[in-house]
Amino acid sequence: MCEECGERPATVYVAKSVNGERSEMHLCTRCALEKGEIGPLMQSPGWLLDQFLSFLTGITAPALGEPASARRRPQAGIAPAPARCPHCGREYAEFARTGLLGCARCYDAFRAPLAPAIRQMHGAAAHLGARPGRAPARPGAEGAPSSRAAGRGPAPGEGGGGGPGRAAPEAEASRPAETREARLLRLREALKEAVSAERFEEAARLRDEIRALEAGGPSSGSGGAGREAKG
Amino acid sequence: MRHVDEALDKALSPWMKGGGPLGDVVLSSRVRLARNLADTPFPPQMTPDLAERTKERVARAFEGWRDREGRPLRLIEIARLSPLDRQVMVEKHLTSPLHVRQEAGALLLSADEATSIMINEEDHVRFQCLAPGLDLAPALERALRLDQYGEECLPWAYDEDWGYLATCPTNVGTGLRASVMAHLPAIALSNQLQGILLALSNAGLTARGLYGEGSEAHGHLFQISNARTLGRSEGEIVQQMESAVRQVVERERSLRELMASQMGDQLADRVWRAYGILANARSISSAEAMELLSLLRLGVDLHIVPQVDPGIFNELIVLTRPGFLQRLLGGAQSPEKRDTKRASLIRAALARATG
Ligand SMILES: [Zn+2]
Ligand SMILES: [Zn+2]
Repeated sequence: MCEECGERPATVYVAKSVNGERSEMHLCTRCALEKGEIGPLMQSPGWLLDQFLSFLTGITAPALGEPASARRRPQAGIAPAPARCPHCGREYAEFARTGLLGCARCYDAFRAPLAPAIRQMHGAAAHLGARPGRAPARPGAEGAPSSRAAGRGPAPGEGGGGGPGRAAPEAEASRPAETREARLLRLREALKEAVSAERFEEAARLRDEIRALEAGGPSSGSGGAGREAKG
Repeated sequence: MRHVDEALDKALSPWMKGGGPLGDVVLSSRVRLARNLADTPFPPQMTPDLAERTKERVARAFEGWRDREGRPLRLIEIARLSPLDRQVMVEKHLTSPLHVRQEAGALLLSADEATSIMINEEDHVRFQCLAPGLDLAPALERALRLDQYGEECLPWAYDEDWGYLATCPTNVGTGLRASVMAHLPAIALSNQLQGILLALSNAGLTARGLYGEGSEAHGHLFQISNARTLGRSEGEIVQQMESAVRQVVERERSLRELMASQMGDQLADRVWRAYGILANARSISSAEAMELLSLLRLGVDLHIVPQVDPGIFNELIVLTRPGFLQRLLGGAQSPEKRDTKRASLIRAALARATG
């Protein structure tokens, strides 16, 4: 959270050295602009994690000269978590401190506090895109199953240049955008609402509809990059 | 080991030689996909023994992978690298500062160095694909192919709601971090970074100076990447990023033209002074070198100094990093020695490039 206004997420990291004394500040872009702090600037790559952790623990980063305790604001809606993951033994406290989980099943063990924190951080609660077992990549491409079967050697007919990689995203760029794009946008909004209201059946249906719409686009079937058939 | 030396000796990775789309502003594009094994604790919770086994398991899974010329990936084990070699790996952006501290870490690297797999970094597996210029889409496709290739024998951790599970929840979903390295001297010199930054952050992107500490961004080099990984497909993330970066490129180009037309003589003077120092200095710090190389590159792009090959800019950025210099000098060296060596390397490179 921004140390100046305490309202917007901190996106700008300002480190200064005044009379040999180093100081650091995390500000939102607007406050950084108003304070004239962004001349040459750095944006901390870790700000999203900071934001996530402060949401999780209800503690925002202390402002300069302010004790951390003064900033403690218990988050409403954060459910209690077990002390540790029963599968790998990762302690919840360790996770809340570092932001790092211990195993895939930690996501289940800590699902209750994770769900709202993940939703807040990503602005989404459901994955869209590639998934295991999706349709195989084009045969003959680099590292594709057929070249594994062949053992080695370039696949015949594999051209140089930008190559097949362009298929999916360009197809996306050229699809008849407005109506479909608008529909996707609307569906995604509905999905977000359904999830935050915990109407999970509806959410699942919306997610499938979004996936179908994305997969079934007029020109997106060939490349497969991120736009797979459901597996 | 000879292969390792090959990757470390050259400042310029083979893939960097072409300029790529919008190469006058965007130096390179990078796509990273994070993946983890469902049946093994994540790296922060792994025992050393398990970490070793995971390394072997992932390396074996990609043993049969071949690039289009039929070349395999080569395995570089962190534990076998000297501290200096590790630093050079980071300076070449082949791997990360976190990764070179992992004793059970390893890198699988393609012959052209454009494709790599980090094993046991923050996640079990991170695919990295690079391309010159602004060209994220093919890099994404390559990374997704590696993912599918690995999936045949590695059980990826995947959740119906949250997609691919990462060690840190900031990376769940697609596990995709797409980024570009952009040279933005005109935007920086005309104090327009603020506006650009605001626009980028509104578009869900983050930008940071690539070199330098704290508030200094040496060489006007910026890394722009997507902040969020969940809720939008890989193709969408990449497409949205490309269009945002395109706008930044347009701004940079128009500001460059404005600078050239409004302060032509002044700009030419600064560029030629930069050239003069770089071509003649006997000692130069990393920060000063980056600043002047940035100006020189701007001058090359604006045809103020037409006879310099723009490719040497990319090469010199890596060549003049502290670790790379010390490796050339055969071991740890004082800053003074490095500054002297840096100056002589730059002089030699400029002489070659203006040949
Ligand atoms: Zn603020
Ligand atoms: Zn666990």
